[in-house]
Amino acid sequence: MSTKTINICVPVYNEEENLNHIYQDLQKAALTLIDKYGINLNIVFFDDGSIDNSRQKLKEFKDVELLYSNENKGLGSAIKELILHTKQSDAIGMFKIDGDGQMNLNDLEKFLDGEYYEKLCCNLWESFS
Amino acid sequence: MANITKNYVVIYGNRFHSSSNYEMPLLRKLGSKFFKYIMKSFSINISDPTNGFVYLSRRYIDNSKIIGNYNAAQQILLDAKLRNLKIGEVDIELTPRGSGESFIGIKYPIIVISNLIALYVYKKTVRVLIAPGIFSLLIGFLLLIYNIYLWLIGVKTQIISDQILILFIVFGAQLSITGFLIEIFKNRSN
Repeated sequence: MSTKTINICVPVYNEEENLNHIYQDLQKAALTLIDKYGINLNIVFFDDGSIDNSRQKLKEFKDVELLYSNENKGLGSAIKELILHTKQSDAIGMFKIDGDGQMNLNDLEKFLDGEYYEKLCCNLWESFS
Repeated sequence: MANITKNYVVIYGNRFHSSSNYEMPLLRKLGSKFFKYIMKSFSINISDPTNGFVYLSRRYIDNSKIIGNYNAAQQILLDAKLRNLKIGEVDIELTPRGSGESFIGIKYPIIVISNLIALYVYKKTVRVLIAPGIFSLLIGFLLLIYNIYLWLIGVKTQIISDQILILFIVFGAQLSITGFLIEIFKNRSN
């Protein structure tokens, strides 16, 4: 089975308190994904000009890619940078999660198991009626 | 092998499902509902358009377009829809925030809606700018011909005395020129 890479991208702004927990969850998720699906999860953090110790903390993490901006440009800018970074890599796609640690990374498997659905429709009028 | 290579190009997490235990603050819940209807006005039926747990496949990534630096969640959906890419949803769970605070504030809807309109205009330049611009120019020129006719038969003393005519021509020219400039910019950046 050939190994495919998916980037998991985490934009971060002043999240030093949440980073350890996110990093541990990401490492666990990476192990599960390689074992169960043969997918290499490449962890990419983007520090959007944090003024707390987020950058220092991120530098301590192993096996992650760290991108950063020296000024806080906004979440949209961080996502654009992460999309560009994935575009230039050989990843087949990217997950984007928030840097606040609210996401349950076990849900990654739902994406990979194809537990998704599509809501067809629609016009605005139908949505109100 | 994972099903992620199915033809779903963009997949959004959905926090609003029947088995979810997450209690979202009321204001954010209302905001999310509001954007659900905004997205429906673009014919995108998605349960949770403000969600940050997203999968983007390479097909989306290779030609993505996001305007501004504020946020991208809704623009990704619109961009995908305008490119006829398949959008899926998956039910997810959320835990309350441990520490820190969200960047979302009162200016969120204003900036996001402005950016959505800008993206729509950028992507649909012909429909939104060039076609109405040319139509306006056409009406302007027809009025001009009529004015010349009236001047020739002596009904009017000046060729251009009609302010509506000038309005149509100036408005049409501005729309068309803006549209063509955007098209040139798009072609160059591709």
